[in-house]
Amino acid sequence: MDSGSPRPKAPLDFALNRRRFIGTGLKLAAVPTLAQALGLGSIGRAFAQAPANDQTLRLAFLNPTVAFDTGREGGTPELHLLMFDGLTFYNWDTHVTEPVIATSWDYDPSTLTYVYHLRDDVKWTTGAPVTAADFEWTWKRNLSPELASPNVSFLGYIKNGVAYNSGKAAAADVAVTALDDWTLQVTMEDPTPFFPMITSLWPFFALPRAVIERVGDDKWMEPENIQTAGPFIFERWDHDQQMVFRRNDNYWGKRPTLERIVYRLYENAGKQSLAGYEADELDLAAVPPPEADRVLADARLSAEVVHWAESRNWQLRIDHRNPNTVLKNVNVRKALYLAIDRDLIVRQLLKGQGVPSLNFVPPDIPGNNPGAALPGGATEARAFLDAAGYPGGKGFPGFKLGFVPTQAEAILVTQAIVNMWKDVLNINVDLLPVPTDWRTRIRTEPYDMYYGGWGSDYLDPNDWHNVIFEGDYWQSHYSDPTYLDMIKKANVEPDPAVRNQKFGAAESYLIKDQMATIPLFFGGTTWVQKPWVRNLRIAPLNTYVDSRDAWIGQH
Amino acid sequence: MLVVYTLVFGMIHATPGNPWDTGDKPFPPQVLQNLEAKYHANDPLWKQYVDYLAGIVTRFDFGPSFKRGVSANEVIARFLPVSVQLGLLAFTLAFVAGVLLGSLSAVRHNTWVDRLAMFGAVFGISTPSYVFITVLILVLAVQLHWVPTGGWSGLFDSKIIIPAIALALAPTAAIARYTRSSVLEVLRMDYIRTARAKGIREWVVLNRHSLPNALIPVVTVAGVALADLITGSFFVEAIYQVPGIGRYFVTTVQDKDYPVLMAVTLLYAAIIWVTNFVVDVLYAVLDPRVRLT
Repeated sequence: MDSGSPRPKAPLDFALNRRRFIGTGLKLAAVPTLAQALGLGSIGRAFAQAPANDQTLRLAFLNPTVAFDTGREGGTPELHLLMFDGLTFYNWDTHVTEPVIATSWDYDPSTLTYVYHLRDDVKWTTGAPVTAADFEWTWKRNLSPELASPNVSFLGYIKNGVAYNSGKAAAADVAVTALDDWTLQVTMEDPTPFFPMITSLWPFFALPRAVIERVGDDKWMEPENIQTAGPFIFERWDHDQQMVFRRNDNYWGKRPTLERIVYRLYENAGKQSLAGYEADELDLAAVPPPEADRVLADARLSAEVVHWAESRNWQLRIDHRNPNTVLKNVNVRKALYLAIDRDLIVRQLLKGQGVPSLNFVPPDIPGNNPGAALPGGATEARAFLDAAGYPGGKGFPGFKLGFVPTQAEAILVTQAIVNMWKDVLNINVDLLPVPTDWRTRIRTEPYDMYYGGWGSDYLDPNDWHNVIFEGDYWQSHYSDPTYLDMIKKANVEPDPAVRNQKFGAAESYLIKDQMATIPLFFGGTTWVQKPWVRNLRIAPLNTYVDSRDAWIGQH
Repeated sequence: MLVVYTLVFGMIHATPGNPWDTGDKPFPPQVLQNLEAKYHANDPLWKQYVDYLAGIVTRFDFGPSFKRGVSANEVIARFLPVSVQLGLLAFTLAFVAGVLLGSLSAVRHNTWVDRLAMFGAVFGISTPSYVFITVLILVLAVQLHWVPTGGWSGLFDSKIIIPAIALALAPTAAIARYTRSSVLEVLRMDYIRTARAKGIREWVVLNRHSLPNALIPVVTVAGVALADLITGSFFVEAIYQVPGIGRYFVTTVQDKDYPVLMAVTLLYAAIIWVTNFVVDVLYAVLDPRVRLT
């Protein structure tokens, strides 16, 4: 990719599917909130209504467990984006990587080297400029084995990044260099066409070196120490209680309208914040599926409901290395895939918080292919089971479906699926509750199948095909040479349109032909939002609230 | 204390799995290695046992939290004071209300007052705090808007009302029942009959002659309740977003955050030890027959 990533030329079916996706997700929304949900804001009323005097936004947040260090936290960029800017920003509506601190960037394919050209007017809260050297220092700091950051996978694309993190190379070997104050040069380990896009992510944000060296890795983010460079300043942190951010009046970019954002911290914000919203203490709260019926039946609350899509797919993952499982038989896998009533799961169990998925890659990722779905229903499912040698379910040996009981709705969804298989295929499948660290064991232990969800880290098909199966992040141990060859070739393809087509073909092979994993549904979230909150958006990636452009209307 | 330490240490290392690799996505192997090296999780067990114990004994250092980015000492320093304040308030409520209700029941034995108070006590003992606090939040905060739905701003703020009442409910009920049966027993004693025969007024009989003697078993129950209350409650703190230490008894087990788990367990053991000691001393104060030797 040369300077700026051009908008991927989406195939027609992708565009249609995307519209259907959003449409389904918004079916329940009232009309004014629908406009908000689409990110349009309520344009008509925006002109008619002036901002309120008190520009304070009140939000709920999950109590951060790892003290929220952009280099160490894998969770959500919601707070990081208030305080820091990336070199770039990935606009999920337009699919364009936009310049932020970097005004432009060049790429030399012969050396796999990017050169970023930085703005010279970005300032720390101390008044000192944010320079290319700050980025170089931060990236090496985040990669250092002593910091032991759990969140280094993105930085690992840099040449010698993984080697340094594993103690096999020195910091000086990591191929990122500040050529001068405003020029940053970085060389890739392998061709990484999406690198400018991922420099929009929080592990790449420049951190205040002076503070971190003075007070250490654990204390620098306390409000009395921290220096930031983003649209908001971290004003106050009552631990396990609340966090307060104040507008940065010296911000180099577009000045926010909001004066303050107050975060109330919850052990489980998604499930607990609705009561605070109903008592008028919060401006936004997630609606957990068990509360959805009550909220939609309530005259006032139902008018405040908004839906947002999530770049996430939930699926059943299969151990392809286990020689003793009945799931080795591709016809069994196809029968299981076709016997699931996904509409029923989404409607009844998830209360509309999601969209049935018959293919693998979510609709907001370029190169996704809804045509990868295997057509058919219950009749075809039974035919596949016959073909597998178990007519009418006779002689089916059964298998175990693992699930993590603490995962959202996992118990309900897996029970429903097992019952659907019993009804349609007349087979018995056992449920196996497993702990969250089970996957450490299944690196070596054989298993049959488990239920899981994968959210995009960045909006590129590489994060789905290559990371999951080539990197074996699911412990599926799927080593089909045809498929691996397809995705390796697709990944390094320089022409974006051809690259998307190649990934689409690989997805079709993965699902329709091989049924290497059984997709269930794409993610979606339902919220209630006070009518006076304007321009607030919830990103599909990592599902974070983007309140930088939000404002409070008069009420 | 050494026994508690050894037991906790043994149980921690007998449970499978590692504390870090529990998020949505698995860690690359070198990341796990870095974390294990940073927190000395790869040292031989005996070395971990000795090093960690030495840190606690010589420097009173419980080590860094695996999850919070601070030391276990700091977790306790930040959140224990909140639980102690809330717990002491709840304990005062429970003790005053419990003794009052219990004595009232005993004096009005077998009347509607007694039956109502004892019905309340059974209700209080059998209602779990998470049910009671949820109802309190729904009624007082969401419906009536009298108090906020959660949070903490110190002792002198309306935010303390719901968690204090929720915490006080069960010990109030327990203390009320113990007080009642104990007062009833004392009221049947010969010396009370003598006192009444002398024509002493009934409230003096109750206050001066029966209550102090009746309180001896109650103090034992109250001591246990006190230890329980000042170490916080997981449910009340988690549901009402009170930044206390009680949540850490549960979350540290879920998170496998062993240093904080060890610190809070030893702290709890120490508090129980201290309150038991105080209760023993109080026996001597209340009952002259018990002498400290």
